[in-house]
Amino acid sequence: MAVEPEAELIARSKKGDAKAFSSLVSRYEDRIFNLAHKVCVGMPAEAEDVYQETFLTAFKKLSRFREDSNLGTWLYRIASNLCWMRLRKQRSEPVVPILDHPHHHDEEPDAATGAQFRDWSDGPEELARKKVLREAVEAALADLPVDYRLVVVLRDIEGLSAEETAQVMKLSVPAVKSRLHRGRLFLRDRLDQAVAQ
Amino acid sequence: MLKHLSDYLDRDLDPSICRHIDSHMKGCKPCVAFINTLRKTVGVLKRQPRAALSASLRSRLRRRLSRIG
Repeated sequence: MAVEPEAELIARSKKGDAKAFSSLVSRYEDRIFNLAHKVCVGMPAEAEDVYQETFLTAFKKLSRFREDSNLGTWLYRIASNLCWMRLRKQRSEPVVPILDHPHHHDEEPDAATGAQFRDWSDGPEELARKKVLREAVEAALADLPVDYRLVVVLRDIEGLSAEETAQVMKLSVPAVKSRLHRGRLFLRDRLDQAVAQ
Repeated sequence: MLKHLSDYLDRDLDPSICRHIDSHMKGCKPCVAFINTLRKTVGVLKRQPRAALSASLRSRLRRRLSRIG
């Protein structure tokens, strides 16, 4: 069976055709759910709500969607906004001063600072470590402030480009790169601690 | 140099800065270890298992969409 072009599905959906919109949902729902699951880490009920609300909101507001835009980017934007609003309401939303004052990250990691870095590759322990690292990533993501978490998930987990992430987040590309780098440094530190244990 | 390391890993950096980093790496073991762990961090993120969307949740969304269609 021929795959119906996305533009036609969007046009029919704009007229209220729920079946056409359901076809669009099928194309994007796994990605949107994964984003929600990774950003609302440890809160599966919130992730499920974000997934559903993203498509319900999109269906209601589809008339505002411009055909020359990218539907995936638009859906990621709705989902990211929903995640952001929900997480900002959470009292547990972390405050991580290191991200605002990453002083030790602005210095060179060399003998001048006395810093020593493990390389996380001590042979036979590597396999077990992969599991440790995967689990540590989840815990570290939960501690990463949502503004950084969203950028890291969009770029490094969902695989969006810096430009696409900037469109989703309504940020400049340099701002996306800055948040991504700081987020990665934060996660690297946390994984380093996990490996050391 | 540290502020450029993510762009360096993403191959999204001015070639002259890349050459500077490459040159520095040849003589600096701590920096090599650091960038290797940063690279592994990104690798672990990229390999995170995808979340599994259940059939019941997919159906629940379809039912809600059909009610507002």
